[in-house]
Formats: sequence, C-alpha cells, structure tokens
Amino acid sequence: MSGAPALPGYRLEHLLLEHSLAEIWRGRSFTGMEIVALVLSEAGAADPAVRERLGRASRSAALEPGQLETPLWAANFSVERPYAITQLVPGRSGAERLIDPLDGLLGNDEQALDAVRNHLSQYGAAPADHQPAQEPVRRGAGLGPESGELGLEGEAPGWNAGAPGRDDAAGSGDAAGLGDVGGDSGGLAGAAVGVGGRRKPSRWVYVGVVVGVLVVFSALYAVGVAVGAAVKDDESVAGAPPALVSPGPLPASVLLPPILKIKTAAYTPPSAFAGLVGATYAPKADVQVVDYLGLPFAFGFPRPPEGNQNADSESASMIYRRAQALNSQGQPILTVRIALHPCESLSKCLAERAAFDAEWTKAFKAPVPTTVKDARTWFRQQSGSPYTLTLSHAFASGGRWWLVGVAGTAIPDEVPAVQRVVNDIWRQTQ
Amino acid sequence: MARVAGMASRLVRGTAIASGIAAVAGLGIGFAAGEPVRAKDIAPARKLPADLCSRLGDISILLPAATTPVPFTQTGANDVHCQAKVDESTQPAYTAATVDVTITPQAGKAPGAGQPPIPPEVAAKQAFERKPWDDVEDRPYPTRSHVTGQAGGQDWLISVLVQRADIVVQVDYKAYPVEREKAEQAVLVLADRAIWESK
Repeated sequence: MSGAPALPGYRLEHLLLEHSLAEIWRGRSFTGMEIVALVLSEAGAADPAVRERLGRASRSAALEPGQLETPLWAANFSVERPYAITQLVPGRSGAERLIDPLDGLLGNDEQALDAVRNHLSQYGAAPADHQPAQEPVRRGAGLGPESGELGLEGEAPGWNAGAPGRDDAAGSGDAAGLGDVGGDSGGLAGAAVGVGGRRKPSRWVYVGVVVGVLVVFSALYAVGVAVGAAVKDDESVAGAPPALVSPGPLPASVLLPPILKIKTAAYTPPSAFAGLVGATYAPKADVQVVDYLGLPFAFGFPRPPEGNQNADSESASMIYRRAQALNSQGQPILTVRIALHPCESLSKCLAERAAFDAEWTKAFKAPVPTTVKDARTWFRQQSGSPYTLTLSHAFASGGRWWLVGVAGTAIPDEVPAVQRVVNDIWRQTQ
Repeated sequence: MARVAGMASRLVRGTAIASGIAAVAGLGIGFAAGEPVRAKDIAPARKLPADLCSRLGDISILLPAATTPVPFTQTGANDVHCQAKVDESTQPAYTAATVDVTITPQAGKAPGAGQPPIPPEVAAKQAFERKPWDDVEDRPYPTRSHVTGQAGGQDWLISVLVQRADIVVQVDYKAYPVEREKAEQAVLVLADRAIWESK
C-alpha cells in the first residue's frame, strides 16, 4: 500500500482492513468528525460487479430507514476508486453496513462476516492505532480463504486487520491491545481486540471534571453577586425615618355654620303672566315640575332635567343648583343654574345684592344682571350662541328672605324654552 | 506513552475551556441575578393596634353636630380603615362631612431581577411616590395632597398622603361648608396623629 487514498473533504488516517478488492479506512471529515470509508482497490474498481454492489450498498445505507445513527455521508462511484463514507459512531463503526451487501464479495460465510462486523465495531468503539503512513501489518492469520474464514469467492487475498497494538500498553488495557489481532487465533473471529494503545479516561475523571467546572461556576457566581451588590444601585436601603413629631391639636372649629334647610313651596301652575323677557309658559302648559332641589321654590322645566347633578353644592352663605336638558349626543342644549342666598330682611338682601351677584355670576361665568325690572328684580339677556338670560331677585319664602340668582343658557333653538324657565322662576318667587 | 499524554492533554484542554465558560457564565449570571431571594427574606407587614382609630382622638369637630355621637369605625385586618360619616339627609341644614383615614403598614416586596428584597420602608416610600399629588412643604414627614372643590368655595374634598418608615397614611376629608385652609389643617393633624399612633 502506497498510502491513504485522497478523498476530497476527508482525511483518511487509519487503515482498518485491507482486501484485494477494497480497503476500509478510518479518518476525519474537514469538520473533524470521525468517519469510516470503504474504498475499492484498483482491482475492485475494475470489477463491474463489485462497483455495482458498492453502489447498491451505499444506496441502501442512505435510503433504508433506521440508519440515522450512522448515516451515509458521501459516496462517489464514478471516480477511479469508488468509495462510500459513513459516520463513525462508537460501538457502531458504520462500515459494517457498507460491508453487509458485500458479503458476496467477502464470502457467504456468516460467521466470518460477523467476525468482520465485530472487528469493525470494536474499532469504532476503540479507534485503532493505525497511521496512514504505516503499511498495515499482514499477518498469517489473514482473512483469506486459506484461513477458512473470510475468503472472497474465487480469490485468494484475505482481509487483514491492521496491527496497531503496542505491547507496552496492551497489558494495561482492559481488553488488551490490537497487536494480537488474529495472530494467535488464526483469524479475526478469535482475535482479542483491545484498546490498550489508547486508554479511555475513567468515568470518575469526567465526574471530577464536571464537579470542578461546577465549583468554578459557583465560585465565580458568588464573585458576580458580590460585584453586583457593590456596583448596582441599592434600592433596598432606606434612610433613617424622620423623627416622630407629636401631633398638634385639631382646629377649634372647622365646619362653618350651614344654611338651614327650607321647605319647598308648592308649584303654582302656569297661567297668564307677563314675564321678564320673551316667552312664558302658556296657561295650563304641561311642564316638568322641579321641586326636589332643596330650594324654597319649585319651577317648571320643559322636560325632565338630566345630566350631572353633582354640580350641586353648598357653602355657608350660598346654595348652588343646576337643571339641564341634553341633546342625543349628551351635549347640554338648555341649562339653568341657580344660586340662593339667605338674607335677614329685604333691606339686607338689597344691600347684599351687589356682592351676591358678583359671587354667583363669577361661579357661573355669567353676565351680571343690570337691567332693572322692579325694586327687587334685575335681569340681563345676552344674545349669541349660547343665548344667556340672567336674573337677580329678592323674595320671601317660609318667613325668610332670599336672594336668587338665575343664569339660563341655551342654544338658539332652545331660547324660548330657557326664557320660559327663567320667567317661571321669577313668577314662582313673586 | 505520547498517545496517553495526548489524551490527557485533550482532557485538560477541554476542562480548561469548560472552566473558562463556567467562570464567565458564573460571573455574568451572578452579577445579573444576584443573591437568590426566598420568601422568608421578605419582611411581612407590621400588625397595627386593634384600637388604632379610637387612638386618633376626638374628631367630632370635623363633623356636623349630630344628635348621637358618630363612631369612628375601624375596619381592615392589615390596612386599618377608619371612617366617620354624617350625611346631609340626617341634618337640618345644608351640611355633611366624611372622614376616611387609611393606615397601611407596608410589607416588604419581592425585588426585581438581581436585586435584594425591598424592605417595608422602601415599599412604603414607593407607594407614597406613586401618588401623583402635590408635595406639601414644611412638613415633618413626606406629605402630598390633592384638593377638589365645588362651586362656592366651601365644599371641599381634601386628601393627604403621609409616609414615615413603613407606614403610609391617607386621609380624605369631604365636607361642606368649610374653609379650605381649616380643612387642610385638620386633615394634616389627623394624618400626623395616625403616624404617631402607629409608631
């Protein structure tokens, strides 16, 4: 043998078996994966039957199910020396699958074929120690017909196992070295194949390595925790709480004297009446009586008031109420806001009217009534959109005097309606 | 012998590479994840006195006069809620008031990734700072307030939030008619009392 065949993408390193028709090599792909290659010799390549068998074996290895563990990696039948390559898996050389269909070449002796399989499997499990530069040692115990074991049909050459064994290591291995392959037993079937040439580390060594790696991880994890604690912003540290301060007393008085509630006077139904300005309810008009706002008077509204009633509020000197109508979009189209202020007497009411008007018109953002209607009534209408009609009026109810301020606003279509409401309030407080 | 040495060399090289990866991973993960936090590392909330509301003192000055004394009702097991309420419907005048005091002893919280547990004091500070209210100056404790008023300027809802250590106190006082300044003063006094009594 002159050397390892050159297969593109692969490097053949160890000659495992040699036959006159084919060689089995162990090597590596360019990625470093271990492979087994079956390469026909020149004689084998010259035999169409052998080429055909190699092709069939390769297709079988590639296409048959259940071959995922040692898939066929490559094959080329058109080169000078056709070859097929499989992955080398420990315990399964892969090559035996290439050899199976070649049993006709090896001979139909099943025992001999099994011997070859076993031999190759053990190589897969414990790679042999061949070097490409070394000529495989041919022993007299070859697999040729003269050995009576693996003879090729009608041919003399036998399979010869490489002899990688090292005498100095063979004795220390679990199964002895490969150096004894076949020599004494007269064939591979009786060979004592060992791994003494390359001792596999004990599993305890691997356990020790894993433990060591875990220790390194744990140690550096602790270092990382310490570094993180030192570097990161520590939100877990709260400053000292402020000193407790003895609380002071509550104010002597908090609530202001409220306005006493009053009874709402009965509503006077619409009748012929001249209002302040604009429209008034027709006699016996159907109106919605609003008598639940806590005011001293009730008044008529064109429809049930709706919307936010939380605008109601009270102070010590003023009561604020609101009634409004909304359109289908929920927008107010008619709003009447009412402010009520108690007075001790009519003269006091008139005296306080200016301040009262200033306060409620500011709260309602409405114009101050300036047009005098009579001695107790002032009003003002402001055209535009919205239309605004304001009223300031002093009246007596339930034996008490009051100032009422009314701000009615409406869209143009609802101007008569808001005029009717304001005029009705004026009428109810006469 | 050289082959055995080669095998050992490969083992040593692989071990060195694995150790290096483990070192980098350990350092990185340790930095990022930090010390593992267990449930017992998170401080529970403090237990407040069962009579805390009554300890806040007489609050009748904050309420309209009533024919019968209005109780300052305490509810809640962890958070203590004290409430006293006088409806306008029970009054002969246009006046009403509601006092709500909520005293929350914060528990610790589980931290974010790689962080130590959040102690109750920090949790309380976080709860306080989450309230988007206005800071109140010149106070012995961190204080924020929120004021809502109605037309007329004497119908107010005053809310204050006070935090000290692990305690967060919120006082809500809605009343009318009342001057805003007086109401704010009363609410702050009540909040300070809650802090004092929950110490």
